[in-house]
Amino acid sequence: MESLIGPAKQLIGFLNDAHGVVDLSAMRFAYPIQLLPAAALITEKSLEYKMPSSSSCAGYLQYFHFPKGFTQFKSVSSSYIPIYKFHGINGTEAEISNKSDILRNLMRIMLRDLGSPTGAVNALELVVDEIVSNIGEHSGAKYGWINAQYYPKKKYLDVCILDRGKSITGRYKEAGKIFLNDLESLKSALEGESSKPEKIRGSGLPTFVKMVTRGFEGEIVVISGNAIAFGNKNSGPLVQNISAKWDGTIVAFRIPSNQNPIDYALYIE
Amino acid sequence: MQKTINNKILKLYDLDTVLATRDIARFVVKIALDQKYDTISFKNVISCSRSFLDELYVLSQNKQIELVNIPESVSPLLKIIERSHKSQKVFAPKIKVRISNTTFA
Repeated sequence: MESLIGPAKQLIGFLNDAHGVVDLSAMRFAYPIQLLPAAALITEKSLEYKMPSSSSCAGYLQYFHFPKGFTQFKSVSSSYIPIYKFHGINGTEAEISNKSDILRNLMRIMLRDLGSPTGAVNALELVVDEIVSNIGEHSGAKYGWINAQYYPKKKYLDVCILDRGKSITGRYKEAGKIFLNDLESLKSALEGESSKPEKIRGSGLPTFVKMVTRGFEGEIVVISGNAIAFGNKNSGPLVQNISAKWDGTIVAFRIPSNQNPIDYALYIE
Repeated sequence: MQKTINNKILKLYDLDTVLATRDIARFVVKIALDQKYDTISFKNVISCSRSFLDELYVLSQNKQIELVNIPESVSPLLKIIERSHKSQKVFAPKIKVRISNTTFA
């Protein structure tokens, strides 16, 4: 399986260049980890942009409703989820139903394309839920964004979920926990330090990371502020600085197909 | 919806919604309260998420709503959630995180 490191580095380059008119003309291909942050940034900061010169890439972006994304579930697909904005918290009944349809579509892709190993749906639901719930409960963002694509020839699923709300450092600060920088706060979040005022452990990021890297033998990238964490099945996550800054949190993961059965209970405590 | 002599049962499967996130759990409990269900059934449910089950567990306890027909695939999660609330401790996996002062990109 190709690594997410390359696309993540390209994303950092994009973020450093995304000022004034965002020039996507040289883009020939975009993974969700690149496409979704670009869409959210352009839309939420009302930036002007140039579409890719490549007609196939431009067509792909238009088909996915780049950059604004869909706010209502459109149709079921077996291999992708276009760009969607879903409500953060306290949504209406229609918004809750909409989010439910998007998440269910992701489960369908899982069932069909990743071979539906025993336990995988439970495990993926836990993973996606931890991220989506974090956006709803902690980020303060009005919207979360999601985009997913299964690549049949490469035999892996890419998912990106992000918000433009409070970074992890900001969430801790609100709870009275002060960290020197995004590097330290991201490390603490990955280790289970809760951003809630109570003295309890957080289950979100540790569960997500362990399930993706050990359960699915995939890769994860978490970006918050100007810190990034990368992890895979061979080693625990490594947290580093990045030369750009993301206001909010980006979570991306890549899961290979042909999975063995997964006992999710092994990864949640 | 199925009715028994003593219980009015809300079947999660019939709601046709994914059982993930806390707000969907709150939505389910709102339906249960509005329509005076005193039991929520997991019959035919294959999976549900931790946030959903955690919220449903807390709200159902507060509102005296019984959760029944918990499938085998969900019961390990429910056991952890029950244990977590009884001990007032969140159970999460411990992972080794490394930190580096080098710049990724």
